[in-house]
Amino acid sequence: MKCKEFPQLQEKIYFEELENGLQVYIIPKKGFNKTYATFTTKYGSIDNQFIPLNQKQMKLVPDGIAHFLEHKLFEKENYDVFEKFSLNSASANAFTSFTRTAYLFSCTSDLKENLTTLIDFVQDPYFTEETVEKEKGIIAQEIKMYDDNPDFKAYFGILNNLFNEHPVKIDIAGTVESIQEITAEMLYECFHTFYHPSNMLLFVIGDFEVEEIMDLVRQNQVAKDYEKAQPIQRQYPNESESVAIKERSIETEVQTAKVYVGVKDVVVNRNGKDLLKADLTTEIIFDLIFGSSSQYHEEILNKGLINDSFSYETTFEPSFGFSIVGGDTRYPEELAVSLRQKLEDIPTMSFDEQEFKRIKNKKMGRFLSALNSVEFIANQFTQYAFNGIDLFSILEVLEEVTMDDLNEMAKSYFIPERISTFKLLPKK
Amino acid sequence: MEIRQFNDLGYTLTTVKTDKFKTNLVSFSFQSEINRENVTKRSLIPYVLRSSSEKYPTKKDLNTYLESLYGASLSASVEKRGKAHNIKFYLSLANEKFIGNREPLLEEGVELLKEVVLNPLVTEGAFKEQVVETEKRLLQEYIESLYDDKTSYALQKLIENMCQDEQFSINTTGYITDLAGINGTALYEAYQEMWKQDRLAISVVGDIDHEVVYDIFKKHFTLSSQTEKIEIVDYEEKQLTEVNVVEEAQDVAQGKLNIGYRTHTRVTDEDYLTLLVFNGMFGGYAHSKLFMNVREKASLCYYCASRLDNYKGLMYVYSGIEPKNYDQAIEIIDQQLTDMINGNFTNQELELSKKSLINSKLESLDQASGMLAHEVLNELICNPLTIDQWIEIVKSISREQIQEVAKKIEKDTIFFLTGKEVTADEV
Repeated sequence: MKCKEFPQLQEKIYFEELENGLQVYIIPKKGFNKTYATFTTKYGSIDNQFIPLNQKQMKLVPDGIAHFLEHKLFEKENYDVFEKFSLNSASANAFTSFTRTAYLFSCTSDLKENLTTLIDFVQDPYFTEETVEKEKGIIAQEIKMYDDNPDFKAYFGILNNLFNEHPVKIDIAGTVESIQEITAEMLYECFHTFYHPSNMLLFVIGDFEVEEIMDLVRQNQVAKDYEKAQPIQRQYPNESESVAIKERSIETEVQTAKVYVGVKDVVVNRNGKDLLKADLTTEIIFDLIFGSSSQYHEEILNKGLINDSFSYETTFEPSFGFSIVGGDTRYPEELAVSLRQKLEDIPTMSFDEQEFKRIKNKKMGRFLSALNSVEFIANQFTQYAFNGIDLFSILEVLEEVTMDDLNEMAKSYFIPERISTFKLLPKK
Repeated sequence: MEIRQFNDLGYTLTTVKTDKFKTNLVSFSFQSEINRENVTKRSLIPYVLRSSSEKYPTKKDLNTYLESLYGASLSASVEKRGKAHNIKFYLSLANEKFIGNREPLLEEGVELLKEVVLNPLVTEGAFKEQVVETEKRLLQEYIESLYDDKTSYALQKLIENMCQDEQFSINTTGYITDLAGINGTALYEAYQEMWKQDRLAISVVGDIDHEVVYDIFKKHFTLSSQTEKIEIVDYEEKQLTEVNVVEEAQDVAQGKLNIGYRTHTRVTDEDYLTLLVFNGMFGGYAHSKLFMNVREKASLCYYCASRLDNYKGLMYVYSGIEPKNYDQAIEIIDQQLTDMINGNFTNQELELSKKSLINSKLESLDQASGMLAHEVLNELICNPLTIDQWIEIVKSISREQIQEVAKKIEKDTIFFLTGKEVTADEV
C-alpha cells in the first residue's frame, strides 16, 4: 500500500493496485460520522462499440444498455440489495454517466459488512429474461421523466447539434424503443467485458482504520476467480472537425425559451495533466468572459437578455470535449446571436493579467469549498483517475496555467465551424 | 463539534466549531410571519441588497470583490418554514490556513455582509429604480420558469389546491401580479420594516474560535434590541369532507401524480419522531412500501415516494406514471396506507426504517446545514434533545405507535397533471 500526502490540503491518500488489477483508493477523514464508498467501472453510455470479452468482432449494442445494466445489478436471486444495506444502516445508490457507472453507499456504522455487500453485489450479476422485461417499464418511465424536463432536453439538444457521430450525443438512458432490444444475454456480455476488476476503481473515504479496510478488500478479491486482465477494445467513431448542425430550434411545452450555444473540442486522446490543463484553461476563459464579474455579463443582464439561470460548463474527456453557455431568455434570437458573436471573438481578445490572477484565486477557493463534500471527492477523484489525473494536483496545475496557455487555447478552441446554437422555444 | 450561543448583541449569534470543513460559513436569517400583502416585496429585498450597496454599487463590483476573496460566494434567498418567511444570506469563505500566508478572511467577510444588509444604495428614501426594475424582471422570470419544471409545478399546484384558503398557500417567492405596483420607495419602506419587525439570527460554522468570532461581531455589528420570537409551526386546520380531485392536461410525456394528506402531527408533537419512522416505512426509502409495490412489483413508475412538511402537518406522495395507470396507482398507494394502519408490516420493515433514519441523522452532522438544523429543531420543542436522546427515542418506537400515527393521516387532495393526447384516447 502506498501513501501520498498533500500537506497544504491536509489530506492523505492510500493506494494499492491488487493482483487482479482493481485499483483501491482510501482517504481517511478523522471526525466524520459518515463513510462513503464508490465502486466504479470505466464504462458509460459512450461505450456502445467494443469487442466483447474472448471474442474477435467489434459489436454495436443498443442505446442505454450501460444504464440498464446499472439498474439490473441491484436484482438478486435470493436477496434485496437495498434491504441488505439498510439492515446495516447504510443507504445505497448508483448512477451512469457518459464514461462511468458508479455504485455507492454511505453509512455511519457496520462499514465492513457494507463494503463487502457493495463489492459482492456489483461482482455477482443475476439477470433473467423475466426480470429484464420487468425493468423495461420502470426505465421507460425514467426516460419519460427526463422527456418532460426542459433543461435536459436543451442539454441533449445542443449535444446533438455539436456531434455528428460520437455517442456522447445519445441520451444516457437510451430511448423507450432502444431499450426494448436489450436481453439478459447482452447484459452478461457487457458485464463480463467491462466489470473486470482491472477496469474498476474502489474508493473509500471516512473515519476508520485504513489497513483493516485495505485488507478486507484484498481478501475479498483473492477469494474470487478472474481471468487475466485483457485490454478492452473500444471504438468511437471519427468525429468531423465541424459541428453536425449549426443552428436548430425545437418548440415544446415551455413558457420560457432556452438558448444554449456550444463549442466542440476536436483534440482526441488528451490524457492526464494535458487534459486537466486544457480543461482548467478553458474554464478560466469562460470565467473571464462570461462570469458574473465580467463586462459582458453585466451588459447582457442589463439588456434583459439573461437571468439567474445563465450558466456555462466545460467537459473534457479523452474521446470528446465541449463547452456550453446559455440559459433562459425572453429574447432567444438576440441572445443566440450575441453569445455566438462573443465566442467567435475570443481568439482575437486580449486577457487582463490582474483579472486572470483573480479568477485563479477564485478557482482555488471554490476547489477548497468543493472538498467539504466527501461525495465530490469520491466521484471527482474517480473520474480524474480514469483519465490519469490526480484530483489533488488541481491546485498545482492551476498554478501552472499561464497567460500564454489562455491565448493558445483561445485561438485553437473557439473556431466558428465548431460552434453551434440550440433554442428551445415555447409552442406558438 | 462544539456549539455556543451569544444573545447580547441584539440578535442570536450561534457559533459552531468543527474541523470538518475547508471553508467557513456565515449565515444571516431575517424572520417574520408570512403575509400575502408584503411577500413579493420581501422576496425582492435580498436580491436588491445583494446587487447594490454604497461600496459595491453594481453586481459586477460585488462579484469582483468576492472573487478576490478567494472565490467567496454570497447567496441571497427567501424560504418558507411553516408560518415563517425568512430572508437569508449565506457567505462561504475559504479557510485561510489552506491558502498559505493569507490574513484571516472571516473579518472581511463580516464587514462585507454588514455592507450588504446595512448600507444599500439609497437616494431620497428609495432604492435605485434601475436596480429594482432589474430584480423585478429576474423575479418574474424565475416565477415563470417554475411552470416549466413539471414535477415541482405539480407539487406546487397540489399545495395551492389543498391549502386554498389557508395562510400556508402563500407563495414563498411572491406573485407576478404584485410586481407592477412595486417601486424603489415602496421597497425601501419594506426594507425598513424588515429591520423593525424581523428576528435576526446569525450563525458561523467552521474551524473557528468562538470568542474571536464573537469579538468580530461585537466590533462590527451590534443592534439595539432583539425582536420577540415568532410562532413558526402552523396549526391551522381545515374540516375535510371528501377527497378533492383536480386534474390538468398539458403536453407532457408522463403523468405527474401528487397526493396530499393531513398528518395532524407536527414537529412540536409527542409523536413527531414516530411520524418520521412511519414515513420511512411508507415511502421515504428504497425499501419502503411505495417503492416496493408501485415500482418494483407493478413496474408503474421510476419514482414513487412520500415526504413530510412537519411545520404544517402535511404529507405528499408523488410519482410519475402513464396516465392510463392512474386508477391502478391510486389503488396500490391507498392499499399501502391501509396496510400501515392495520399493522400489515413486518418487524424488519420497522427496523429498516429506524436504521435508515438514524443513519441519515448522523450523516447530516457532517454538514454545516445538518449541524444547524438540529439546533433549530431544539429551539422549537419544549425539551431539547441531544443527538443520543433523539436516537434512543427513534429506537424505542413500537408497532402500535406507528399504527396510531398512521390512523391520524387523512387524504385531502389529488392533483394529477396528465397528457393531452392520452386523455382524448381514453374517452
